[in-house]
Amino acid sequence: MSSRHHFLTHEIGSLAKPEWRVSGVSDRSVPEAHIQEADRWARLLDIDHAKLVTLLRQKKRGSKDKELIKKWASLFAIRLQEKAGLDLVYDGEQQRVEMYEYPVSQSLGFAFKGHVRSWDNKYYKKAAVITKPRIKKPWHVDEFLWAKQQAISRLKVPMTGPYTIAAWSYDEYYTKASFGFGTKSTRLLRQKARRAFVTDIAKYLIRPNIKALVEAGATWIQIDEPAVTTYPEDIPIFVEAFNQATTGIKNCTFSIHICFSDYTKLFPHIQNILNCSEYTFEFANRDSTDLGLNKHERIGYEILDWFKKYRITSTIGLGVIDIHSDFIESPQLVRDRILYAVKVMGDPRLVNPSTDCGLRTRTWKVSFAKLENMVAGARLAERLL
Amino acid sequence: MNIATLLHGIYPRSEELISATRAFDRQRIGKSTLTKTIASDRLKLIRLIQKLPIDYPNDGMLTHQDLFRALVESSTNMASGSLVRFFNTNTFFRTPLVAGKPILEPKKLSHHYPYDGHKHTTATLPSPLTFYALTHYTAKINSREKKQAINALIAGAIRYLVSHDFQLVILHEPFLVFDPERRKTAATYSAEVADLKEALRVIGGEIPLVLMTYFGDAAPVLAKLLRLPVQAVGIDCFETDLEDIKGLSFADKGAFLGVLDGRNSLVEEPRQIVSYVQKFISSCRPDHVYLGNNCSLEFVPQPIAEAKLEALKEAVKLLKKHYE
Repeated sequence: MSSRHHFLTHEIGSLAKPEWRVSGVSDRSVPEAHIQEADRWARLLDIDHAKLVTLLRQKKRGSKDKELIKKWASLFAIRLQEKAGLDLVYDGEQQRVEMYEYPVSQSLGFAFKGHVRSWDNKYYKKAAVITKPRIKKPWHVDEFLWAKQQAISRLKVPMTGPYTIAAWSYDEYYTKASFGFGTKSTRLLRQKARRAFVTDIAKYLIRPNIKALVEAGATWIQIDEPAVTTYPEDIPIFVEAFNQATTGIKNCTFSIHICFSDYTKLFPHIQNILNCSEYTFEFANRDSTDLGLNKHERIGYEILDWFKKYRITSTIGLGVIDIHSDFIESPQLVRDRILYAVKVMGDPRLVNPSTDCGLRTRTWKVSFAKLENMVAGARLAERLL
Repeated sequence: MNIATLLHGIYPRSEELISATRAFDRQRIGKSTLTKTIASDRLKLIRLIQKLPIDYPNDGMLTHQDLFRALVESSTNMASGSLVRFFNTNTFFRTPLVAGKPILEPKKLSHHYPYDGHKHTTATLPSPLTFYALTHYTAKINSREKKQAINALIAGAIRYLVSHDFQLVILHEPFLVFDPERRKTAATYSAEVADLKEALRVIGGEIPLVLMTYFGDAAPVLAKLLRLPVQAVGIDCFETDLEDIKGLSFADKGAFLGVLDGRNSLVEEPRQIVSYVQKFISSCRPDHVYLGNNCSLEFVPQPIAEAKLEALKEAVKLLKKHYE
């Protein structure tokens, strides 16, 4: 194996919204402590932020000012990831509300119903599809163009996938005929309804959005599908939708991100996925924090055996950083997780180290430390190849 | 025919309480403000329950973060682990971790199952099978010991509830029936029901129990469940085909029908509920019928949950006219 191999490191998408961004886009005055936080990060990330400070100190901030504050947050997020040493970056989704709410609010055919719990005291605003979904305006092009202007590193744009948007929505349109007490025919109708809903999203929302991004210059788009194993019998629908959304679109790398799921359900169906260069999964959440290269220590990575068994030749976006805890993975732990994956997959080119999922539930201090150590761990692993 | 309404599981938090919990997590408000907001939500729910009315209400379990957390936080040798999706919902629970023999501390449980003189007559607990299946044991104990430990924990919780005048316990049992790929065999069901029977021997006898199955089709296992020592057996009416349970006798057993779909924003039509319940009664002849939500209502926003409970009220009015 070549010792000059370079592991491509990346994260998944979200970073926490810093306090100055949250208070900056509200109608409250921005506390001095928040401005000092912006100042600390600007110094670390070498950002000339004088104009941001002026903006944050304004007593009244209009909608244009608030949009500008979000763009500043995007810049900080890009620089944070670049400073940590990531090869692929994005803007921490600083201009988005949340991975479901944002795309749905930018689409026609949905009505928001209210908040429901994700876990603990985390919620999301859930919508119902009320008519055939259609694109209102491309979701991420403006944000991408801004990020493209600011970034030094290559960009990877995260986008919520069709199956997840459907699974996380109520259905008051496709399923209306089948709403009722359980019978064999209502069960069949419900699955048909899910297929129609998902494939319409793929055709009328995802594909146009992808084309718009590629036209704007995007060269890597990550389709986020955390809900894909919700109904295991629907995995073929997910495959069909991904293929519908991406087939024939050139000059762009596509990856699929799935997390906190039973990945065994994906097999063998993902053998039928066309055009996916990388599967980015969560593993660190399930793994031990012991150092070591054997199965017992690396218990979180059992599913890699399935990729080998089913001869999936796409790269693995290897989750080596747990995003649900403040535990800072050491570079040595990251190294061992990477080397174990290389051992199983047989080729370092099939392994790209990543975070398990977005880092939005961690502070920037914790996120930065984790990302730095992920990159350091990748460099340690390279030396031992 | 005795028809009663029953509310179980975790009720959705109001937007005010949602904001308060977020603010608490961000340390923008303190515990006492949060507690007051919880109390206010609880009071609104109690008033709604009294207005409807609900015959067997609960207090909404507004402090519960998931089905297991109250018991985990009230026990020594237990902790909360990683986040896992709760069956095929988009809501996650923290895996209960057992590091040794769990010992319940009733004082801690009182925070989650408060008794303050209101008639919150029911309490919801995880049923043994679901609890065993979703728990991770870090202690080195064998399968029998694991089950005994969980059974003892649930039994302790039930003793607490009995001593605080709760009148009915609903055991949430989705694990038994959740089988989306229809792979479970008769042998598997037999083994699982045998485990349940043994668990009920330990936890039962002190208070009427309702075994509530949901998120799956109860038909393949219902005949066996009807032989268990519980007051009533519950089915998810959106997953179980009446045709498949036609003729199964509920004689001397109550039936709990989950006729409100906790995962659908569409509100049930009272007349459709009535028609379904009438068909069920004529087919299965239960001793008495409870009607309510199929699963926790926390999967819909609060206004939708209220609309569903209103629909239930209308349906029960029509049913009582027919049967009484």
